[in-house]
Amino acid sequence: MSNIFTDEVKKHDLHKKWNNTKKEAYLYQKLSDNKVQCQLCPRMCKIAQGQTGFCKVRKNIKGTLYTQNYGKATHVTVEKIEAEAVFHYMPGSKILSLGNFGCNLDCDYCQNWVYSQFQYTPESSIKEYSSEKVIEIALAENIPILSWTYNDPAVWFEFVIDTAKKAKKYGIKNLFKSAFFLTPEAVKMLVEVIDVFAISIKAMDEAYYTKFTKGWLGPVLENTKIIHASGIHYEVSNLVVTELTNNNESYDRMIDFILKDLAPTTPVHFTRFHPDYKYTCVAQTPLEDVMNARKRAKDNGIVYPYVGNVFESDGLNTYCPKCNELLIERFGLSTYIKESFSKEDVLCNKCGTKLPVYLSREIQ
Amino acid sequence: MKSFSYTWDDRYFLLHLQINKEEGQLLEVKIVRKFCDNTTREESVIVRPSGVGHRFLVTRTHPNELAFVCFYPSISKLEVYKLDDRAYYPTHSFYAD
Repeated sequence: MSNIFTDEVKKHDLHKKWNNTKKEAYLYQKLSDNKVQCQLCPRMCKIAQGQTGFCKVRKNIKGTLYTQNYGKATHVTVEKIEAEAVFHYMPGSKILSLGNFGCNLDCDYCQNWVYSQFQYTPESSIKEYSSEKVIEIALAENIPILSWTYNDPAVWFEFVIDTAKKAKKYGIKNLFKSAFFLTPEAVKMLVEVIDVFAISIKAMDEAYYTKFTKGWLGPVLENTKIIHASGIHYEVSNLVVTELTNNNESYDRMIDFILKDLAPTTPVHFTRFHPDYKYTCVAQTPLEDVMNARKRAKDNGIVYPYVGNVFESDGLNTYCPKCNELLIERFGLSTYIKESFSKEDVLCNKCGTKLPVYLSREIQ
Repeated sequence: MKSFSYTWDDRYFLLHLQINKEEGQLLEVKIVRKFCDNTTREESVIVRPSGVGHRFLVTRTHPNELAFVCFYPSISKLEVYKLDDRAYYPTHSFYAD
């Protein structure tokens, strides 16, 4: 942990100082008395003139809702797609990871709290990035995927939509990693432009969501079903938090949801947590906990369960679901596609079983 | 050129390296990985001209990889961050020259 939180951490409160009218929000309605109601997420914040919503990056300026983070980023980093808990889409690919600031949740253990909780974000960490600039970087470095990540890109909605649309013209894919605390309308707009979704379901417990994330579970599950029905590639990750969700009941609820409402072949990642932000009184999740979660998932019919934030483990590898041949070996974020896996036909060379792995790469 | 050496341990397998430079400078950084059979593998990272800070991920690629050395231009400075998690952006470095 390096971003240590205390009560003395400086608040820069940029949301109180900025009045950026560059980009009007896509999803909102105007109310009486110069108020607006944001419709991006289930909070449906009613915002008075001069105020922001919960996320602190959508601001009512004279009766119009503007995003304060359009064309601004805090992080633009080259990473690997496995960093987003995505193992079945262009494995081993470089991604351009993009992060901004603000969030419509406030998770007690947020590892990127300096940026997700906008009141703490220093102005020096924020840089201007146009959609064209982002695409130019990706093309110059031969990166096939833009990954909208770090803090939740849900509140970067307009910039994600606009940039993803433009990036498509160059054959660049878009990955959206999010807690999916959004309205269905927002999800449907994302479905039009996003190529792969990395869905973070924090727990299958409404009380947990209320207490530890300040959000609620129902919309997250409904949105996951929308994504599932869309046919777009997605993977689910669950952060296994020490003393909160590292128990069989939590694992089983997640497994049940995937089996009943999604598909047994949905890749699911049980990921180790580390202490951060306001939840630092416990240790990192023991390896055996995520391995146990994975085993329970496998024993109950989940075909591709994985572990995360682990360097070396069987739980990182992809095996043939029929003959158990090792097809894709991973160490940390490094991926080794074995000769037993046919990249041309996307199947196990030993028994011929086809696998739900997307391997295509197109850059124009 | 300056260099930074790091030996992997059981706890951390992800690092962010950040090259701090002047706007407009195009630089090249080399990562030389060392393996337990005494072999090495070299990679090049191009630091784009725009911007004054360029951060990239260095991940341990295999259990047989024991360490790496980063060679970077003398006109730039290096900061290194340990990552506890994927998709994590630490703000405090453990090394800075």
